[in-house]
Amino acid sequence: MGVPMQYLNINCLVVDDEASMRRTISNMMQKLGFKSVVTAESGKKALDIINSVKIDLVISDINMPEVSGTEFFTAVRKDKKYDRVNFIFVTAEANKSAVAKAAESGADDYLIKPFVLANLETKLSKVLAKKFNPSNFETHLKDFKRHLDERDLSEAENQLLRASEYYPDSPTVAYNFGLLAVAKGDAYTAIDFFKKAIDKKPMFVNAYNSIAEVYENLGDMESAIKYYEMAREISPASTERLITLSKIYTAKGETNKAETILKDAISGTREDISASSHLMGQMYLAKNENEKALEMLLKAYKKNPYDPSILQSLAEAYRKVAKHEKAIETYNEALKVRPNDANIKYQIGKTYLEMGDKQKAIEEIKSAWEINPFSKDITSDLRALAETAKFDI
Amino acid sequence: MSYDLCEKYNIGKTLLRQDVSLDEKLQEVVNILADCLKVKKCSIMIINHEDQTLEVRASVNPEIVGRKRNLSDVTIATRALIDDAPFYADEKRLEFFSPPDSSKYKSGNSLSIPMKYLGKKLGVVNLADTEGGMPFTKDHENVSVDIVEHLAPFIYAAQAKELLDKKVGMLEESNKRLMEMDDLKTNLTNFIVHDLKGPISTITANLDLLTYEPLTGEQFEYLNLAIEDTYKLQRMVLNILDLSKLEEGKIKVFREETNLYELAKSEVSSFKNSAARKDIVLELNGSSCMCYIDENLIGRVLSNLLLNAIEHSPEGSKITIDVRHDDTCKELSVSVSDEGIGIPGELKHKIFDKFFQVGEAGKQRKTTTGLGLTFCKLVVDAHGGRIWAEDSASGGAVFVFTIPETLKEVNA
Repeated sequence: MGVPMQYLNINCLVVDDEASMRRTISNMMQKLGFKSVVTAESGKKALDIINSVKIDLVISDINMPEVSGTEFFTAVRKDKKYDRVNFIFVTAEANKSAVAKAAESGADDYLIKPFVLANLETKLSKVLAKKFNPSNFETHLKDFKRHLDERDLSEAENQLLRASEYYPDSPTVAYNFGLLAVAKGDAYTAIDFFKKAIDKKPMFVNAYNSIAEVYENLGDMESAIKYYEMAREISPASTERLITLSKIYTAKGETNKAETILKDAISGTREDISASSHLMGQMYLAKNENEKALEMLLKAYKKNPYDPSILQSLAEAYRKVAKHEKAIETYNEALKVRPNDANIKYQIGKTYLEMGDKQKAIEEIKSAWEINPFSKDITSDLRALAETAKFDI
Repeated sequence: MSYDLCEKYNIGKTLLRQDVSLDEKLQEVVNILADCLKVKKCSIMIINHEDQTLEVRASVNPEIVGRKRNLSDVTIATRALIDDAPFYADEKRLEFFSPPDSSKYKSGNSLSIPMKYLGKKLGVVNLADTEGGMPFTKDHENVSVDIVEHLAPFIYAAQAKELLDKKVGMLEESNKRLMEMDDLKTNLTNFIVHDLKGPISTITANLDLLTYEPLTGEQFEYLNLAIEDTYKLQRMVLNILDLSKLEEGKIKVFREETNLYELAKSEVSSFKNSAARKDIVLELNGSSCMCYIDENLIGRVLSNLLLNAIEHSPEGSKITIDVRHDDTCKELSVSVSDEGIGIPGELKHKIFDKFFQVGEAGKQRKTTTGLGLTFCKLVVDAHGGRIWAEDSASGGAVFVFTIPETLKEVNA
């Protein structure tokens, strides 16, 4: 058996609602030599275990009643102290929308049923090698990301430059230079770096997505759509991307296209209740059926209370039914997961404007602008406010 | 008798109008007829085949429109139909008929002209009560027959169209029902097959775990047979389930950076046992080649093609798998060639259809469910690639599929 000895002392948690599969996976783990394997029959029980015992690695089924695997995952990941818990998902579906979403939000790997011991061993070795022996390159990248999150841009740049010494041609390095440029407010340099990343890795979905985001901020919706559509072509399942796309189409007046995208997505997520309720809520929002939207989004929120994208949609629904305080509360929940998201701050600012609290609105929109100075919407709103409130930006 | 070209023209014009219904046309004709023949009563009755009646569809007296007489009743109208000739009635003859015909006409005079087209009886034109109470003459008959001859084809056409519409409606209805039943059947099948997946996963995993235990040669042989056929069962179940989802676009390609050659290598090695059983050599050519594909789906394409090749290979033959990278076309290609009986030219396209099997009696190329190649085609299509079959140098079959290396520009 090929799993290195040093990996075998970690604490593993196997989550599956099917008793036979749960036993089988746990037997496989023991066969591979893992000494500590606990099991849970639901996402809820698994959360209890994680909160009481130190767990290093989770192997979890996705499709479970009540709390699904991905919902369990977002619930764990919102807590920074569980950052180092590795996740491998197990799914029976060839339709990997749930896996894809988990992967984009940082799950380590996945297995498709049916699988055998050798498949499990390959995945485990890969994930654990990274955990135990991160290369210098990976360490610098990780540090870069941490500093970027904390908005310590000079130290972030320093770490990224050191990472790039190891693999100067790596698409990941180019992509991260793009992220750094975004943080510095240099939109066109960012686009150049993202394009460089795509040159090196033609299906780099996050790079397409990031270019689209920059164009969206710049107000160039045609280019934004082009790149979002390319990202969708590679990875069609991201609920958040589909919602962004449908919003842009709605803003352009192409409501049919927007609706098709959402309907298409809903039919693909029938088993993922939080995702399908989210999409349906978004569809009602687009049609201004706000009460129905709120109902759907609350359902999605109940199933998956830590998903920042669901939280933002829910806040939007609260605003539309004039529950502004609730909206701000909800936006703040989303900020806990994404503390440096300019758009969330901008939306909070706009909510204050709707409430007539100009002072707070200016504060929030200004801090959004500090994070993202090239956004057309944020800048023009802030400028308009500055004129009425007589301050300089 | 003032029936002239002008009236003929008027009738013709009325009949040819496309924006009026048949009943409106008939009413117009009735009015013109009454006018030019100077009769007080004129009506057109048409056979309703559904309830076997003669129905008044137009009349000078609007009150009687819609009234029906049974075809089996003895009336002057049915009499004309039965005789297939104009029927003159006077007071004396009227007594034979049941009321109201016997008492209805003031002067006691009436003339009924049967309508026929292409040998089919359509209905009757009734005339009664001439001005001044004079009996009907041959002149009346000639004019009426002339007009009826113009009228009949229109009634015929209208009835034919009505019938056609009804039949079309019925067909659509039964079609809809059939489709609903087909959906129900598909859903039921999927439901059952879906539930098979869980147990198969557990069986596969546990049989595999057994192979790591010390076993005797005999035990190992039994186990391998079980594993091989569990794999087959698994493939069948997955193909059935995913085919309909692929067709509906519910499975989206989820691309990841994958080494196609390594993927082929691992698929080839999982068929080592079944190939060895038929003394077949599996030869893999090519070298490491990175691409962006849905690893799981393409892996299953490879395994379907390999299974297909092994099934159709004679004992002791060779199967060659080539993984190639074409720099000029910017695409990757994989071919699987066997030394079996090959596929006749005209069938090379059809084999990708659902449930199609190649073969003549006794020489049938058998496949597991006939869905494997259809699955392959749908997956390759979804990757923007192509798949086809050709002949190998040895007369066997070669299956080739290609996958483009880069993303096609999406037009915003």
